Amino acid sequence: MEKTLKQQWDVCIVGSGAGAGPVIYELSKAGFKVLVLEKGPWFRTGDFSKDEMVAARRSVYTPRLQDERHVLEYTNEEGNLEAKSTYDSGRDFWNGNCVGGSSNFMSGYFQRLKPQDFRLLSEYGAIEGANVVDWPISYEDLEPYYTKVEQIVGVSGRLIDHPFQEPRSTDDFPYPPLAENVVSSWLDKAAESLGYPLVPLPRAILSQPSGERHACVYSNYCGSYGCSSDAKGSARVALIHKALKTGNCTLIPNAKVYHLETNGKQKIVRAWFYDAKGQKQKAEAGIFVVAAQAVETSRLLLMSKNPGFPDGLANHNGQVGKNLIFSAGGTGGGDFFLAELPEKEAKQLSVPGLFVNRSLHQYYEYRDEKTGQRMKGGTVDFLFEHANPVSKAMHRKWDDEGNLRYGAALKEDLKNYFRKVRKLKFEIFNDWLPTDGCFVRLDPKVKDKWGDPVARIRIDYHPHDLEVGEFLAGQAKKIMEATGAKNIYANVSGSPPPNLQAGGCRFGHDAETSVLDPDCKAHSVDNLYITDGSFMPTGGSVTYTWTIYANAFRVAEKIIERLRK
Amino acid sequence: MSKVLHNKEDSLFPSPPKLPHRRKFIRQVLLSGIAVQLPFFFSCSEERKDNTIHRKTDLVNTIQQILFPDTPDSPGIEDTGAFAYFNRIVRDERLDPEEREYLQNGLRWVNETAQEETKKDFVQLTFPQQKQLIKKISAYSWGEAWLSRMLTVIFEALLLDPIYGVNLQESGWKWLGHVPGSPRPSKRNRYPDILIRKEEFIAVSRLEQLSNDGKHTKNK
Ligand SMILES: Cc1cc2nc3c(=O)[nH]c(=O)nc-3n(C[C@H](O)[C@H](O)[C@H](O)COP(=O)(O)OP(=O)(O)OC[C@H]3O[C@@H](n4cnc5c(N)ncnc54)[C@H](O)[C@@H]3O)c2cc1C
Ligand code: SF4
Repeated sequence: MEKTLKQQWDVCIVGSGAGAGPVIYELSKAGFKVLVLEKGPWFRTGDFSKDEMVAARRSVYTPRLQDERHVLEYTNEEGNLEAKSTYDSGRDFWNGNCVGGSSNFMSGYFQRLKPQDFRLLSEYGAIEGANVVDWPISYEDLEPYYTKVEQIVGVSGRLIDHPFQEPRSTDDFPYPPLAENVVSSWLDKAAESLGYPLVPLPRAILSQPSGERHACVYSNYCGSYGCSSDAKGSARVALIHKALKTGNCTLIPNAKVYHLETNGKQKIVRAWFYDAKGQKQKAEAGIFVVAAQAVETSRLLLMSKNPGFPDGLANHNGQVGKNLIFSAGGTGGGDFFLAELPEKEAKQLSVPGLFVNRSLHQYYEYRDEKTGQRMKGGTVDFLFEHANPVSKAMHRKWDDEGNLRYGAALKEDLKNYFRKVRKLKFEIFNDWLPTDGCFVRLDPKVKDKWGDPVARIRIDYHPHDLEVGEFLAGQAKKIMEATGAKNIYANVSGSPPPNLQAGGCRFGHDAETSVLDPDCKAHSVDNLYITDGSFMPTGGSVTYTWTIYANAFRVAEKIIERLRK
Repeated sequence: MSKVLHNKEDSLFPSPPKLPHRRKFIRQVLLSGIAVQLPFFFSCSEERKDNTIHRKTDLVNTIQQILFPDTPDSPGIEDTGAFAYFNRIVRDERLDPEEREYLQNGLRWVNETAQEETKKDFVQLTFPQQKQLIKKISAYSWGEAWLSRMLTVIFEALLLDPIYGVNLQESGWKWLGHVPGSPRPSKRNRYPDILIRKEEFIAVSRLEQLSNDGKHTKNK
């Protein structure tokens, strides 16, 4: 039997992650009645532990793939389009389905976009085959909200002078930098020997306590794990907890929204969702905000077919789901053999938990050696290999010839790898150029456990992404060499990191070519806002979450202005 | 240019494939005589069942022993608790039934291969013969994929928290100098208890109070 929630809310928000958090926080604090419908359960801080089984080996924070999957469509090695569900491939595309979303499990590497990222087309020109556009807002428009995130969510860091430092309205970060491993100083020296500085990498992690949140305890298990000290700036802890305290916010976990119903015109009147028991419920509100993470946001709009929107809500121009982007680049690393280092250094290097927190910004822009052309480059972050022991062991399964390693040889290898080596890694970030080949639609056949069509994600990348990625990998390798690391490698590919997704509902001035207006309100729906990374027409060359948070604070202000009118 | 998807495996790009991930290869070639044999682990008679259990135990034990043999100054397979852990995995109803079946099927395939090669069951071979056979099997694509999955089970048993009845006396961690993170899992928040409580979290939501028919009661 269907049920309608009794109350009428000012705003109904779908999702409770990074894109939703600032809206939940700002609107509740401003006195508006807010309803949050979150698909996943509500884990509390005390539910989190450093258990690799729960965090990484079983589907606990994410749905089971036999219940809910994605279909990935990509060009295979033979050049043919191949579609495989994530259930069949084992490649999980979920990131965090619970109150606070993926922001509970992020590592909190936080960097702002730079002014040129807001005008990629006018700065660097068109690239054939890529749908590059300028943003309808500028860095200056977003700067106050980046600052707000530093203060409210909490960002720790240290500023230095470097050519690509973004303009700031405050002198420094509100929280001092986190403690660093000795390797950070080696990296600094290495970069210096190459003639440029490495940038201390800001983190959405408290280095000092604030209110009810403790400082980071350097647990050594950050990315993929929930934080037990509340130092990590998840939407749950940094924003939703405070919103709940106002008494204006009602949060319903295990509520999967599957349809946004309009009044037959351009206004949404209710959100339909399955409750924990699988029953259909509906909630009514004046304004609806969707922040279900880029892929699922597009999916929900496409599923919400309504009179006037036969192809999905806000999809008047067929743009919903288009120009999906990820973070391009790749990873690499090198080994430090402890026995080859002076004893003191080996000991310092082995200390677990301390951060590396260094990023290469020197090549955010560079000149192509052959053409002399000014190119948009990117960043490279340096970090230690994750401490997860099972995952570490999994990497040792195959020998250099690609044969399965087992028996005494495997044991010897494991011992050497775990006991004698500390691996320093790097991650390359450059623009994933938006193309016609990368988009989300509904799968015509595959359904989730509720019987709804799953998202079918076409994945393609522009060859330019790899070119830039390779260039950055070359620079990163030089730094690694200068630190004395061995076995240095880099792996640049067009493989999308599922956790760094954006686009699908790009914002812009032109209602014919974009889904959202500059305030992130749907052009063709009166009361629909989208505040996760879907709005981003291009992604810049850093992780997205600081920008998602900042933009959601900006849009929250727009919604408050509207409600107060 | 290759466009094959693969994971970026770092703190930022973690998504290590969860256990067990999907099989890539199944064993397709069966010699006709073998194909009509009774299924290796399923039988109607009690006597046969007993035998089967023994044989299955021996088979799993032996294969695990070959993959992770006793060597000096290191935990042996017994110290990992991998055998009992394997049995728990294949009975864990939260895991995909096809995956669990795959793990079990591999045992049958190993035995079938033993029959094809030697006309004997795997457990009837001498240990050197068994090792030889596993080596041979590891060169087949189905064999490599399945043995790799068996290794994953062993890695989990070697290195997960002892709260799961594995990594006995933290022998795996001690051997590899691994420092566990804090807080460690408890009976409340380990797998699958945390999932069972996930259902509890549903009951504490205020949904029932909010619905206008208000008929169904709280499921405490
Ligand atoms: C392991 C890991 C490490 C990361 N590290 C970093 C990092 O270092 N730096 C960085 O900037 N970013 C990082 N990220 C990415 C970061 O977490 C995301 O960019 C950010 O959380 C995205 O915000 P979002 O609101 O779009 O999605 P989410 O935070 O995932 O929130 C979306 C929410 O919507 C819910 N939802 C989905 N569909 C529905 C529906 N139909 N009905 C109701 N609710 C729904 C989901 O359950 C989820 O809770 C990391 C992510 C992961 C997983
Ligand atoms: S305590 Fe620090 S290192 Fe550990 S999860 Fe929290 S923020 Fe990350």
